[in-house]
Amino acid sequence: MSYTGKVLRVNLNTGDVSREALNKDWAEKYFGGKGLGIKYVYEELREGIDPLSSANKLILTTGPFTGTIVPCSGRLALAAKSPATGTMLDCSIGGRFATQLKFAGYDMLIIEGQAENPACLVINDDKVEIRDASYLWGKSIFETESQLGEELGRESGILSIGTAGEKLVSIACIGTEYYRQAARGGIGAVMGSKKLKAIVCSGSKDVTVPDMPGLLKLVKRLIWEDVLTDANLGIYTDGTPQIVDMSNSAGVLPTRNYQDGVFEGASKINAAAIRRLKPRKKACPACALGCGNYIRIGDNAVEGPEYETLALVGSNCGVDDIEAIIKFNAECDDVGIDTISAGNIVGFAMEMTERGIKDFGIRFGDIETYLKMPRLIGCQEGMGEELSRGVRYLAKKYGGIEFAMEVKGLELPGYDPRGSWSMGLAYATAYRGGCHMAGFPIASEAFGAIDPFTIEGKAKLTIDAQHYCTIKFSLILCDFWAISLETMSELISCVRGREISVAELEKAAERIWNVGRLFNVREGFKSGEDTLPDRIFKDPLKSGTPAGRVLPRDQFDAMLREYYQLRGWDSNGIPTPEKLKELEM
Amino acid sequence: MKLVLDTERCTGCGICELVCSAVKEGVFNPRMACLKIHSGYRKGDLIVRGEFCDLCLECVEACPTGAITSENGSLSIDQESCSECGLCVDACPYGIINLSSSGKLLICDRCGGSPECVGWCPHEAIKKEESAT
Repeated sequence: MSYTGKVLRVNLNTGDVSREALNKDWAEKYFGGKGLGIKYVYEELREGIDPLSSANKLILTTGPFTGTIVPCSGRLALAAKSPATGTMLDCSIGGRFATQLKFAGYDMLIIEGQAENPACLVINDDKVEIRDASYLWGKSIFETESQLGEELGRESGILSIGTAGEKLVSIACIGTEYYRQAARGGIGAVMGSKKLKAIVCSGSKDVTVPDMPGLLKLVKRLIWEDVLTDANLGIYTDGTPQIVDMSNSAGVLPTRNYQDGVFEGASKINAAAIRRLKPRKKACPACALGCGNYIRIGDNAVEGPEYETLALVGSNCGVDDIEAIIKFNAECDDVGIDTISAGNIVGFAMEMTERGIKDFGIRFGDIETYLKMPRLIGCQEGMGEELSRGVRYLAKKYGGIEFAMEVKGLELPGYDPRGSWSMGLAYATAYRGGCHMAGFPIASEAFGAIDPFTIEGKAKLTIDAQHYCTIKFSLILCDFWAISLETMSELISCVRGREISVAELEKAAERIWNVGRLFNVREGFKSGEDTLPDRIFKDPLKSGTPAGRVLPRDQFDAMLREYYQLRGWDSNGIPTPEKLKELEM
Repeated sequence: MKLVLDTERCTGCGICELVCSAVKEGVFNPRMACLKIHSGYRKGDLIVRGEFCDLCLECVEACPTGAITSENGSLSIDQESCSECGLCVDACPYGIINLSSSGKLLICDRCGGSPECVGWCPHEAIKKEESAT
């Protein structure tokens, strides 16, 4: 099997480093990545802990394909209890850290406790050290990575936090290779609460599979017939910015804090606009596609901006100046905050100001003030101190609750549910809050052939989409390979050395989804929190196909009821004992 | 035969390194690959560089048993005569000769004329150049 069978556990309270066997039963049932990571979180965390206390754990998980030549298998999953939402949280990140961890001989890295002084964890195969990182504390992600690369080798995988993570900002991210992030839910604040500035990993061991000739034959065919297809290659040629035009045409591109779904400046921030900046391409390990668009303008460099940034930091703030968006993006990456939440917070502050509810001193399209925001928020300076607490906090304190665009405290990504009703259900039911990575039903709905303005069949569509993402990110494969469940089954069977059917994968996906749910139920989340911002229910969109549309609350409620039923949950959204038994949980 | 890298086309995915260790040693391990791709950011710039065997023959000269030979534009290794002394590993200026964990010497033999790294590169960044020697 392609697992190393080893888990590295580091306790920052005591400085203890230990190695233990990977729980084989869980690896069989949850595979790796997202699934295995959240299973460990569920089993190891006590109920009701403070996510920023020493009782939270940061769990980094590879998967059965990590380190192999399976395409798009280079990502790492990170799981913990979220400081932004109090829910289960898992994120994923590209770059080389995951493969280095596997080559160092570990399937997982579990970090417990809190260091007394700023620390840096350095892993070099069997040698694991907790080093002092006082000299790095206060430095940005770019500075930190640059310095650690110089000291410990640029080929290492490096994860680090910026000032925002150190200050426990609830939208703090973890960065790697300068321009890639595990961004959502405050995962960077979890690392910051552990006083862990960085993790550096370098590995030199072999990764083996049971049938090397068989795997090479399969993968070679898949790269040319299934990965490098016209459908997938959009990610190589344009990357996610291609979604700007799709969203704008469908009328779901968040514009001025979701007041509209069509942005008059879309053509200035779309794939064509990015192409004119002549990006260079950068891939993660084993990725035949290569989505990274490396762009440098003056002192600012990014891989991107990705669609979510273009939408939330661009149109949602009424900004159509691509250079300003790139600068905002680069500042977020450096100070270490999530662009999706940052764009939402700034958009919310702009609407609050324009409506005269609370003057944050910033209006839609005011680029000069806007460009100061990432540092102010990330460093909690000036008005940034309040803004850093997120949209939910701001709305509770100052008003504007009806247009606070968040679910469970996590700010929404770039697809307006009024123009994609299935996406509304996906946001409402995602266990980490308003999230597009938990399920992406819009692909076959508002971006595909299914009517976006009906609830007919949407519960099933959303569940299928959630299961697809869940198993894909547990195996762990990148979102950007539009791989079928059948091909996943073929690959995992080859690497596991035994037949694993599509049905088995789907059952595992459902099991994993239920682990996330059970965690939230244990934390006291109620069905009433599976909901959407009032604006989605009450405030009609103004333009394009969904003009005049809301997602009517009664329709949403009916969709949610059907969703619970199909999931085998009771009317309060709690998994039934029968369902858990069926899933062997 | 020489292998060259088109640094504008290379995305740094490392599939070439993975396939190299896979076909030569039956494992995935970029450190065992007989080529090396460096792709990363330095001082805000994306630097891409490839290291390939260019038949400098430092390894042939360093080998005390004559196990490594060069003919027809490629190296070859006679594993029987190799004493696993590692002198060639140290001599290689590019660090792309390796002793595997099973004690096998791994050198770039151009895979007998059709290098796997060329065939597997998804963006045709590695190219063969036939040289006169």
